[in-house]
Amino acid sequence: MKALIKSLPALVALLVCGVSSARAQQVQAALAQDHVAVGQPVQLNLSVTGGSGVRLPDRISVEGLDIRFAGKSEQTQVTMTNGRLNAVTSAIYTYMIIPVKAGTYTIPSLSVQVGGKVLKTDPLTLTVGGVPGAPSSGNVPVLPAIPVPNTGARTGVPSSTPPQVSSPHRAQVPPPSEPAEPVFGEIVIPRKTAYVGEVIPVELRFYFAVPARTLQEKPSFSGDGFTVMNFAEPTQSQQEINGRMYQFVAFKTAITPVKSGPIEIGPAKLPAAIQLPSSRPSDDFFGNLFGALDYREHVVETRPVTLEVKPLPKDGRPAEFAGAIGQFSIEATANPKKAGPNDPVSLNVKVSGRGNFDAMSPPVLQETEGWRTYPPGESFTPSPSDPIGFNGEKTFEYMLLAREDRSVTPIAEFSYFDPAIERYVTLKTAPIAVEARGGSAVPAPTPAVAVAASPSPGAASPQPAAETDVLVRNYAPATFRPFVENTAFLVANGALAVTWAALLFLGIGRVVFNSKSARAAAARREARAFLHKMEPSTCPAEQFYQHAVDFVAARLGSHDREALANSSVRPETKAAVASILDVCDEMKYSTSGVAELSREERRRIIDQLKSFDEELR
Amino acid sequence: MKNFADIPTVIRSWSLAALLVLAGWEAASAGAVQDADKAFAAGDYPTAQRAYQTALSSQGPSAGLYYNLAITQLRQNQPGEASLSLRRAIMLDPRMIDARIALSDLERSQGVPPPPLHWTARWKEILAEKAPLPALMITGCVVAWIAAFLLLRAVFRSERKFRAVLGSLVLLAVGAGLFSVACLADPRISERHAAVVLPSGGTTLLSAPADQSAVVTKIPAGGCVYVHRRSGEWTYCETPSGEKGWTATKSLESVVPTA
Repeated sequence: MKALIKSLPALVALLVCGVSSARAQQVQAALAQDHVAVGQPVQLNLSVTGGSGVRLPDRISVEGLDIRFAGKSEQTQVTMTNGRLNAVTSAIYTYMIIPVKAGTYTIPSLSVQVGGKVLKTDPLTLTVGGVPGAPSSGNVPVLPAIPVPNTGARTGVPSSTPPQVSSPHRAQVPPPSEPAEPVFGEIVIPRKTAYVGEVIPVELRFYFAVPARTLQEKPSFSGDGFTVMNFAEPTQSQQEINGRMYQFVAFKTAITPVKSGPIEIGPAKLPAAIQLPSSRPSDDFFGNLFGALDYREHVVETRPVTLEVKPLPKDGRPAEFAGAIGQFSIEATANPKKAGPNDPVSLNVKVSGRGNFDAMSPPVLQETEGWRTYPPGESFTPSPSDPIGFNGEKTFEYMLLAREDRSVTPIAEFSYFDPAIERYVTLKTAPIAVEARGGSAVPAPTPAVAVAASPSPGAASPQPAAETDVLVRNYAPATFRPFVENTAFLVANGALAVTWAALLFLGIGRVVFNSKSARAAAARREARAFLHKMEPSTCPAEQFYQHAVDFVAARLGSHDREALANSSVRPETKAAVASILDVCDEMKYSTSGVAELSREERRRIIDQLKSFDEELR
Repeated sequence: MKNFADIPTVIRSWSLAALLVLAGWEAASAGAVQDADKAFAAGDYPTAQRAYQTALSSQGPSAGLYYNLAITQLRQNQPGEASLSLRRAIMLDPRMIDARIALSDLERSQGVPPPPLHWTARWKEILAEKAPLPALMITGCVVAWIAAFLLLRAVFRSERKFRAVLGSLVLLAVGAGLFSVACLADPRISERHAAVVLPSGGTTLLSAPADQSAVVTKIPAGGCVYVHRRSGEWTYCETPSGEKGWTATKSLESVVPTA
């Protein structure tokens, strides 16, 4: 079942091939290398384009070569022609060849059945040397250059040398003399030198000669001395290197060096699951059909690239330069062309081109006499052809208000450093003709001189009614006293503070009153009141004993005799108090009446109760 | 409810007299403002200035009156006085954008160094310009007091004491923070010791209170300083950019009018 799931995409592709319209079928065989050493594996790729129902030769046998089927990769391209969808499927069948002995071998023409037709490949020659690593004459890899956005001739763009993209600086592509790796990565940078702050496009490519799938959306790519912009959506393509067909996935981004000196870019790493022939025999149908395959995780890594970063030159740096680096053009528009008093005129200054738009400051307005200007709003629109965002246009919108009647707008001045010509460039917009009436709602300090120099007030002719528009009509009374010193505010806060403090003291009082020790003290006070009542000699004996019982109960918190027995007083004190309680009980239930108590007897009982009270503490 | 006729005659007479005085006062103020507007429209700025000053002394401080006074002073090329009036207008109504713009223009024309643009240095100004400070203060105060009473309840009554106390303390901090921030941003507090340079030639800040001492910096007319202390003819003050020194007391006028 697992094998079925694994093979499902291939089956779907086969089905798609079956239903797609027939196109010219082609079959081509190619060796990844035509010179190898004994024991060194080499790939034979059999590419079949535009066909369905492909039937491969059962076996390719050449004496001295061990040839085994290794796997298949497929690609379907859908195009629309005259309103019809056409799907063209191309498949690459890979065979792994291991030379057993040295010599020159000819791989015969292979017969492949495609859609009922039998097509034949050209024979191929493989030279096997005796020593591993012997030089081989592979093709020099030619990668497509990084697409460089067209800077175009725009107003104000000075002529500049095009960026050096024809010979990109790259790493990791196997030189012709090296045997091609089944997977590898490379960093492609259009330049070997750059300036601090310059945005440099970078392409990270990961090549796969065997079926594979990436395990991460984007590669890990960072380093010291530069910042990385966001990655664009990756693109996939095919390329033949050293006679070997590779699928490669390319990630475009841009870096900005932040310090001068040599900086190391990379390595970039991309985890991938690579399909390799299984060492285990396969016993199911699909395993036999496509060969038993295993996925193995592998981190594809590029070699680092060194970039020489130079500081920006100090010579010729304009005063308005604020860090923009690249190639830019500038243009301005004004709207509306006619503005009444106090009507704003919007001056849109558009800076377009390629470079570090993130670090770009607004152009400086010059010749602003008679205008009131405000800090501009800004927006950036990336170029549709540039997925990274270092090509595009940034628009700065200035709001202008004419203080006096003006016929042209201020001019905008923008300075940047062009790394291609290695010079600072200053661009200026032309003044735009407008008809703006001077506003009077805002006082102008400079006309005051003119007014002061004007004829005496008495001789002054009546001013137009609009003259008083500069004045305000709201004369609401106010005070220099801070609001926090307002009497009502202080009184309200004072009252709240007093209330809060009172509640705080009340709360604290309650806590204190309700505490255990407070309750115990209150109980003691209550008990001693009974003792105090026993003191007078005029107190009748009956009441005397009752007070004694009440005292004992108040101190123990219970009338129960057990409480006395469990109390912490000495045994003799316990016995004395018990005898007092006995007398009291006897007195309560006896019918003979109560005998009078002598003064000494009273004192003895009170003393016994006092020592009981002391011992209970 | 008693009728007006039932009120004793003496009280009635005094009330009527007071009302008449008040009405006359108001009418006089309104008249002064109207006179000032007319004189301004006629281009008679000295008369307009005097009339606005009369209105201010009779009616009391008003941001609108100070602003109009500043405009007349600007028209007469009195940058120091205009700056003072504009600062007073802003102090009374921090949200008066016209006054802020006019002051900014005036300072630029006088060569007063612009204030730092970063928001951390300007947060008080930004807050005062955008938010109604008294409302913020009242809100902060109310929140803080509610939190204070909740804290009492939490301490003495609540069963989930920790949570309640913590919640009350957080609320208390929020209220107190709001109140403090509003107080700090209030120009009536933060600019309390501000003074404006009046002489048209500006003034110099000296390293010591003596005419021959070294010049620290020059402050143009309309420039603002913060007064640290006054010592007779000399005042020790600080510029917004942090330079400290002595200058002649007579060249400065406090933004908050002295009684």
